[in-house]
Amino acid sequence: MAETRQNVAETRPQEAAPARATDLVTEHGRTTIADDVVAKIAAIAAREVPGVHELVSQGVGGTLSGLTQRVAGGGGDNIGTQGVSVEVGQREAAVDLRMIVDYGVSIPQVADAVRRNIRNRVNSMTGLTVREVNIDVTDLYFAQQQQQTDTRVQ
Amino acid sequence: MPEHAALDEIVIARAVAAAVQRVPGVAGIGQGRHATATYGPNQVIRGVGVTRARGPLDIDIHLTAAYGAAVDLPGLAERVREAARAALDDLGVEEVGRIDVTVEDLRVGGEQP
Repeated sequence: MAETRQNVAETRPQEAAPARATDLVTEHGRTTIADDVVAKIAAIAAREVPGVHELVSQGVGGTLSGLTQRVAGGGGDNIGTQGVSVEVGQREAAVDLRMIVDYGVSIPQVADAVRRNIRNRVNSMTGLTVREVNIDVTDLYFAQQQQQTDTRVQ
Repeated sequence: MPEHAALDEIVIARAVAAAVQRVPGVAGIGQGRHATATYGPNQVIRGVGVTRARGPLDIDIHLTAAYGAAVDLPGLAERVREAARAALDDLGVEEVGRIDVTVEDLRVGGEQP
């Protein structure tokens, strides 16, 4: 079974698959879930955990992908995938996350909860198994920073 | 068979689009950056591709799902496929090949039908 799968993957070039994604082939047709959708689920799942203040893109790569999304994405939808990158295979996904946490929380506990929530949400919504969630805590958020932060967040 | 040969692609695409948009959990179709479409004179149905390359009709649907904690995307795709098939049945299309479904985006807190 595993061999057949591999052969199929090898012989089929990455043809017209638009946002190369998780494919579920049935006899009635193929279901494709775009990588962006997986990233969005992970982003939402991370934000659901109290203590996670914000997800942040960092560096040129993040800025570029954020920009691309703003240019190409639909309007009115404020949940993006900035701060999240995903690698999606046939059955598994790996998630990298950059986030700011609220000052005073236990970072290991929050990170653990984020990991668990992402794993559950991605699995229940897409059927993919999340192999790993790498979390980069880039900053702390202090309540006193409110005004500063407000100007920084678009 | 000659009866559905008379059906234009655009008619089929419109019927499928309407049916798909009524499926709970579908926030919209053809809004993504990879959207497929069916073109007719002075009109475009975005998000539904109809191909008649080989005998049976192949349908390609690109949709945006509405985010909900309990949404199972492969399940949603299956319901979309069933809705499309029912719409094609209603039109009298007999030979249906593949119905491919791509979930290209997720909408959060949006207008859910």
